[in-house]
Amino acid sequence: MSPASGNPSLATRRRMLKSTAIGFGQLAFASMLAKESAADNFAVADPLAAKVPHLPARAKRVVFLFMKGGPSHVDTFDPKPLLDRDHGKPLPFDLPRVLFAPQGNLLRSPWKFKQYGQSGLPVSELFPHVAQHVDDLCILRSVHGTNPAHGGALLKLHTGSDQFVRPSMGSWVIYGLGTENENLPAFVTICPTLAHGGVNNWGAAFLPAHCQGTPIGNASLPSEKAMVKHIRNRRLDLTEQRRQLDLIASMNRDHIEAVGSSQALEGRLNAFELAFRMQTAMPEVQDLSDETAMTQRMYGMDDAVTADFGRQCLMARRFLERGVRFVQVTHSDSEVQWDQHGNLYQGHAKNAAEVDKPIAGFLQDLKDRGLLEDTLVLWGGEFGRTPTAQGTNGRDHNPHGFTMWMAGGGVRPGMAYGATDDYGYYAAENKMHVHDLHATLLHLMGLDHERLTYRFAGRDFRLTDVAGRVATDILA
Amino acid sequence: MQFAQWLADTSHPLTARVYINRVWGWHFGTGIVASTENFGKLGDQPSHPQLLDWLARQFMQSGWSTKSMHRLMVLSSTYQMASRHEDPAVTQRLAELDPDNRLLSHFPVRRLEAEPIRDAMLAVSGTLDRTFGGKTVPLRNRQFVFNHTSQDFTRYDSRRRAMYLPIIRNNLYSLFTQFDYPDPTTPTGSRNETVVAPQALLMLNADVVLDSADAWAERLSKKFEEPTDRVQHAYVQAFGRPATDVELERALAFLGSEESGSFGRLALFCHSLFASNEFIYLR
Repeated sequence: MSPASGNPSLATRRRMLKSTAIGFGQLAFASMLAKESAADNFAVADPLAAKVPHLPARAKRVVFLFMKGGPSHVDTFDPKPLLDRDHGKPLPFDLPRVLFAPQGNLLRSPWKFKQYGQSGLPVSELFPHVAQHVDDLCILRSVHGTNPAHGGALLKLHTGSDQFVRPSMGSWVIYGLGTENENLPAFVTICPTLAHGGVNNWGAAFLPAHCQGTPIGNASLPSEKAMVKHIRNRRLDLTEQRRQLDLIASMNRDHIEAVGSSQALEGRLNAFELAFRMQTAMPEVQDLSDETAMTQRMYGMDDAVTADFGRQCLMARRFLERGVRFVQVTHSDSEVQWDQHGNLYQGHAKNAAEVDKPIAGFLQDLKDRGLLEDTLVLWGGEFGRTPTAQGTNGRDHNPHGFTMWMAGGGVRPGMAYGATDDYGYYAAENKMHVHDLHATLLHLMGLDHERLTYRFAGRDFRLTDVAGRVATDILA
Repeated sequence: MQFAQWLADTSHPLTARVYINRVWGWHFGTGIVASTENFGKLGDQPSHPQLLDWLARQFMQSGWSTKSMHRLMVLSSTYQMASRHEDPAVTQRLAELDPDNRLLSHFPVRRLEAEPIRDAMLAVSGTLDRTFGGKTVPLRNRQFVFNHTSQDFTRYDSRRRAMYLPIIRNNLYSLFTQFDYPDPTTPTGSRNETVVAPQALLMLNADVVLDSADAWAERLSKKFEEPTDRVQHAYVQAFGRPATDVELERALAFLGSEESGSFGRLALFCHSLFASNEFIYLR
């Protein structure tokens, strides 16, 4: 089959690194997926080098603020006056065929909504700080199509499939665009959850290995303990390690002389050099001590409630400004986080209190540094919650209609896109399926979701598989 | 049941061909049919169709004995070839005639998989526990399944062979992940051989590597007094060959002459052997 069938003709361009003080360095080679006809996919000498996208890119980098457990949209960004009016009555139309759990009657939101900013968009009392930035937000109220259970929903949201092992959206972005800074991983996920798909949510699946996300810590560790695995040697200092690396390098060069050169063997020389540099580059990003006290306060790092998530967001900003292409931040811990099957009031109040100020600070900081205009920010969970009650005071999972929001990188600010029905159960107008969300995200990054393909096991794959439409109405 | 019976039926060679192709791939890096999971229309053609069929027949005739097929393959002259001809003119000619080495004009350099990389370090350092059988997951029932939490109680500090290590699908052992252990939720016919920086980080800094290097250095220093003997023995253990004069000189320079810190440097030298290409790339 012809290489033109869906393969982007991406050209490499000189990396920013060549002009920086750190200097050299090609990360070399990824997989010998020659077995899988990699020749049909564009073969690039340095796969991590920043690439020119298909279309003009509005955003150069993405940050995904992932709220694990499923925040309720009718209690945050999607006010439903009829839900308030008809509290206690049954849902007047059919429930979905597949439910996670039995549903009760309609449960009104315990929180009031107010209008904010010039756009007058409504936000509930749960997010007073984020509400101040509502004029920057593009609130997507008609997202749907993940899965009624967490595992499937996380996988669907992160990889586009809840049935098969597919590359994560971060991996697709790296595949299409490379990175701006090869001393750091191209795709970083900070304190991710290991549950509900775990590594598959940042995995590269069949894409080349350099597209794999790098987890920093995990959700059961405080963010100040989060580190890339094996980033530090337990006893050697850098000088001794350098000596060791030089020895290894000379052994490897002799070996190449003896057995003949190959991309893999040469690549390994460079991989060690890059690893060595990463040992200093990574802790530098994570060391927040050179941030002003004012900045740290903006992210809520002076308050025990917001400090942990605030630190994640501040680290994210530092990764982004150093050229990391895709950063995910996860609000999750060892418990259920946003998954309030019961105790909606206490649970969501606690969760929102932990993230509201940091997210607002993060948005402000991006703006102040001129980063927001070419950084795409995505906020949301794996599903929303039902307007009908679970038990007396909880809400069940709702993948049929929920809210995520975007900001920055080419989205129209100060608008709400799409709508759910009167009670907030099903997406009803301008529905945005997960595939549509993915198509739109890729489009904003300058990637045509139909052309960003990879040939594997006999056919072309893409993040949106055989679906997905770009939501042109939200493009600035 | 009927399907199972059909699979094992010797009147057709289909099952045997697929299986023996895998075994070939384990020894030679690539199967006779490169698309190990796909023998259908969209799959690859066998590079040596008669060989494949012959091997399949041998396999069935041997009573479906994998061991006898291993023996057959590694005793073949194909397996015992070098990966490079001494005469560069010949090497050049072979590269023209058989650029991807599909015709096996020389032995394909291949990388060890994750499990043998770990096991080789343990074996060489004398710390490999060769106990057969028994439990692989040292946790109570359900303790290794984490639902909402990200707390993984699994431990990987056992020194038994890697095949006895737990495989927890959503949080694989990092050494496995880094060295291309396939996704455990899907059967995979052939593994990748990637080269990425996190592998190098692991080889430079992981405890299992450092511990093995220390143990190896200790054995060497107990058994041999002279640095030259230590280096030579280390090379034979790690690479199956003695060190060349250049390598010996370089190693001795690295080890230095002062007494203090000499163990540390020997351990670092052993560690460097683990991290080098020759330890994990077979030729």
